[in-house]
Amino acid sequence: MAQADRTQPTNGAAARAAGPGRTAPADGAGETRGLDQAFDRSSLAALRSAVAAHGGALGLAGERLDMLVVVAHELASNSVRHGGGSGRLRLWRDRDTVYCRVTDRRTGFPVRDLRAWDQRPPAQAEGGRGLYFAYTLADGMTVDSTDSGTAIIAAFTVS
Amino acid sequence: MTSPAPVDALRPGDHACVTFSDPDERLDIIAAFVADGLDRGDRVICFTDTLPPDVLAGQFTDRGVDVDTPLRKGQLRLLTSDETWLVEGGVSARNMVELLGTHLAAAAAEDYRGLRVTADMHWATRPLAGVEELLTFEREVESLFTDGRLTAICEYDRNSFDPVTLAFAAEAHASTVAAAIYHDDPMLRICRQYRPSGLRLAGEIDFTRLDVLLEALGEAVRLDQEINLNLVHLTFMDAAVAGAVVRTAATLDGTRRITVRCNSALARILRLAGSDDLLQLRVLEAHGTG
Repeated sequence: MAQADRTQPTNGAAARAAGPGRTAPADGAGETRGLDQAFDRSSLAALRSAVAAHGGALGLAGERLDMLVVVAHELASNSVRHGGGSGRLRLWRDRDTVYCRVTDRRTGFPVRDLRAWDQRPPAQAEGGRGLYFAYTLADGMTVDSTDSGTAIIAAFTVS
Repeated sequence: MTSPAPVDALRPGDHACVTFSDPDERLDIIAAFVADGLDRGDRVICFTDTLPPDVLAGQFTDRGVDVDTPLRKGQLRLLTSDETWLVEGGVSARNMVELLGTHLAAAAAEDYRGLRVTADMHWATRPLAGVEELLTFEREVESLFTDGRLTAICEYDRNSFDPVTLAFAAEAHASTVAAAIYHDDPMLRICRQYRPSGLRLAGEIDFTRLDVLLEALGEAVRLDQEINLNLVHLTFMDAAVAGAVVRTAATLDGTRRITVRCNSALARILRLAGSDDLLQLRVLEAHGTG
């Protein structure tokens, strides 16, 4: 693959870090590769199974693993419904944190201060809940959107 | 033979067979059948095999059917195969027909409106139980149904009986009973639940199946005062589905409620969707046994 692994914000629209204490993922040493899988609407269930299996292998278990699967699904669903219909999901572990990155071809993602999601959206609101769920369930989340596409990374600390 | 009917469509005098692969569905159907019979003033006899009588009684109680009073009064009886079909010398069709005839006469003599019978046919899978006699029984017992005072459901577990026997058993019955199914594919099953009333979901559900869920929920809202969502065998639910459940509950007036039974992970998803904010929604954490 020609494209470098973009785990740091690039020169495009800056990533908005999500609130105090939530860090962007590091690069390089101490990293264990997990899953790297393309998905579309018809393969979401298979993606969930793969995330569950690889998330477990990377060290998550029990309800934390269940929540990783939910977050992975919500990020992927967001790509399917609003990000062009397909995307790619990567899972890896770096030291004590499991990262889940979902990329799609969407440009112009309405990046905003994710801390707005510290408040739950009103129950009547139909759309947009998936990212709120992902933000709330993960230990950290970053959004990076450029004219090449959008990458959302959720982090789970292995306890 | 007619196409499968829901259990609440059975008429007095029907001799129906239910084939099932999911024990919960079987228990839901017979709980509804038993409850309807008790309400009507029938005597109800459950011939049980897979579950001992006290466990079966507990299953009925769990589903909101009061069995203590009917058991005490003799209106409800739970009998095991060993006490009935499998007497010494093995099974014979003749003995079984006579046995049922005796119970039917007793019900009439004791002024019950009729006799309802559920029969767990699992005993017929034991070695030397005589499956041929079983099929003879199913044919010969027809004579007891003619005056409409006897109504029966015979239960066959698809996991225990071979397909040939199942086919013969189905043919021997005038009607079949099945759960009313809204959706059935390898990932997700959505059925009507009778006791307690509502829906039962098993497998995984996400936004791609939201339309089917909304249809099933809509029907439950129309039919049931108290709506129960049995999600005990549901292993995944996403934000879109949780939101739909919460929004549906929000449309109910103050006298009605959706009660959800689910595991702790799903309870958490529902809380994120706002389940704690509504009086019309109650989430009870429960775990499936398998």
